[in-house]
Amino acid sequence: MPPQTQSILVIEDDPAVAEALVEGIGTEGYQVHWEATGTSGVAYARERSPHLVVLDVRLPDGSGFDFCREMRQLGLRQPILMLTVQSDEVDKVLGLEMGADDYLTKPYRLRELIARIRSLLRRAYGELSSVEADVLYAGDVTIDRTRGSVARDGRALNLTPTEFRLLVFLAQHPGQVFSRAQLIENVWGSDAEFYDDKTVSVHIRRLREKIEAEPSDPSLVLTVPGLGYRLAT
Amino acid sequence: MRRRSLRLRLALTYASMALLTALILGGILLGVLAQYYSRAESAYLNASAKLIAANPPPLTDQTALDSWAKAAALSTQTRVHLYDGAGTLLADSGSPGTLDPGSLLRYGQGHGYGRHSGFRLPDLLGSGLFGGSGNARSSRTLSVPLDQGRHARLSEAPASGHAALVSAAEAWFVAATLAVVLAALAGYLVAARIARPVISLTEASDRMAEGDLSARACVDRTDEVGRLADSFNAMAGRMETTVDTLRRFVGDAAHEIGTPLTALEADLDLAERAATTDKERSLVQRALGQASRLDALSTSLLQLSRLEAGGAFADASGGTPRDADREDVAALAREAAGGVASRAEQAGVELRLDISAGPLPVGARRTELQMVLGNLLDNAVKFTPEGGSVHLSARREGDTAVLTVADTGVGIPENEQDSVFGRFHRARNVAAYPGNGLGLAIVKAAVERNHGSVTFASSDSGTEFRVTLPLA
Repeated sequence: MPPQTQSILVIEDDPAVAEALVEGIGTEGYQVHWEATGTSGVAYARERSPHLVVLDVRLPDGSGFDFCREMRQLGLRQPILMLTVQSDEVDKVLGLEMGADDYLTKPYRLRELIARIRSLLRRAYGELSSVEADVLYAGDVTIDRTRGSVARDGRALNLTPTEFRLLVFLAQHPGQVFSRAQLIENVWGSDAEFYDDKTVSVHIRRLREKIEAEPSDPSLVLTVPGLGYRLAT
Repeated sequence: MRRRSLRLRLALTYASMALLTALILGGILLGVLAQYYSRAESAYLNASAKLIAANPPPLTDQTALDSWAKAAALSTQTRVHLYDGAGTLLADSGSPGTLDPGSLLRYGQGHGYGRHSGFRLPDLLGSGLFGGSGNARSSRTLSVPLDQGRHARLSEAPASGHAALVSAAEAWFVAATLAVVLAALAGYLVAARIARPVISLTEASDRMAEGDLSARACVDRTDEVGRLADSFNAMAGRMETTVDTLRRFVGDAAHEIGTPLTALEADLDLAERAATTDKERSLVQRALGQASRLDALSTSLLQLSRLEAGGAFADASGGTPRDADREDVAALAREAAGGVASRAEQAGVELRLDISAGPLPVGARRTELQMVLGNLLDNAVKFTPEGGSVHLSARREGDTAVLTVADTGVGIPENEQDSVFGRFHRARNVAAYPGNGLGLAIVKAAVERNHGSVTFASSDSGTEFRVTLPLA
């Protein structure tokens, strides 16, 4: 199932935020529907069964946590992404215990939200990002293996063949940590003996400068101290 | 010390008042007694003198003189020396205390009472409350002129007054000691009664000074101290309400800013995508940069207002204050290092870790420890130029967990080191770096809220922050 046909319900009371969300998520090709209250949102979810629900915590007719629980009690199994206003961990944990699958703390960036939506949809409806898949995802970056192209926000990114192989390898195993030696073996392959750890660091750095929205604060290719690198899930 | 001084001082005052009274009373009593007995002794000697003068010694041999002296000594209970006109000693009765009363009878009835030798009459005045001094003798002497130029000298009269005086003095001493001790005890008890509410007030205001605005004095009294406590409690209540309102306001304001900010950033994100020229894109990116600054600022304000609200502040969603859990500082340090590692690598800053392999459990709130570590590591990476290093260590030192974050960064100017923990303070040499000057205020508030302390040392070759937390 290609992601473009998937439907998303946004339950958010603030029209300005909702409008931006609807438009932002819509430009990614999803069908977006907006409901301003928890009650109407739950009713819509029950009736139309969207693929994913984006749920604000503060709603005029009650707490998002309660609506989250209500949807779960109604037997709705689709992923729920909570939007919280508080950085309080207790609220987050509570949100997850209520049956939410993920959360984002306001203020958040649209890019971050879309990346979370994608990853939730991938997890829930067939793992597209696998070793065999032609199209891979790394956050908001799309990798087309057959065409050898990489794009973010619809704009193509120019990667060198080594950077492309490095990104593909990481994207094939999201979340898995690889040491520099493992990366040399799997990305550089037969020529591995000519390269050292420093080579990996240099390529990672350049790759980040190209694919990261904010290269100085990477959110896709992550360093794991003392171990190596992993792709953010 | 100060808390005890009221009790001590009052006890001492009471005791010295009792002592003074006892001294005056005792002085007068003993003085009067001494005078009385002194007169009594004089009178006794004079009466003895009259008795002796009325029965002059015989003009016979030495044995008769000796018998007379002894008889005179026994009858007057004094020592009798008999001198002739030239002052030559004729007879000496010896000390009356050693005389055998039986001998007087012998003088009249001949001999034969040898077995009574050594018999003594008991002292008329007893031997005092505490024994001893029963045979005390007066030091007064009196010459009694007799016939033919002879005279008798009377001495060692019974010092009956002395025994009585000693007895009285001893009794006085016991009574005075008892009075002083009782007075001190009474003073202490009275002071304790007065001091208890004062101590309760002091404790409450101490707690208040430490930031616990919910502190109240528990004083159930209607006197002056009770009124003081009531007005203290009223003041504390008012203060707590005011401070809570202010903090709630900051927290609410930060919340309210969050929503439009989210919308703004989302719109700017959309605008960035829609931008067709580089000029448009760079303008939108600049706006996004400012929006994320506001973002960070409202988040920091929210964090700081929560931290400073302390346990008394229930958050806006109606949550209750949470108790601290046992958190492993070592694990949190590793997690925080993971959070900053990518950024450090991208900035060309080496991140070195020296984290205890064993757990370092502390009783603290997880989110607050994360703020401490996050802010310190953020700063370290931010202010360290490419090629430098940041060193994070977490280890056990005695019964504390010690976290240090050392960098080879720009350092904190010496004349600004006193104010780094202040709100919105930014050192002159970091104006070019992003930041809002709240990070270290958050660190300090979070550390202190979890009963720890934070210090730092800085020079132009780097800065080291040191956080000490008590192990759970």
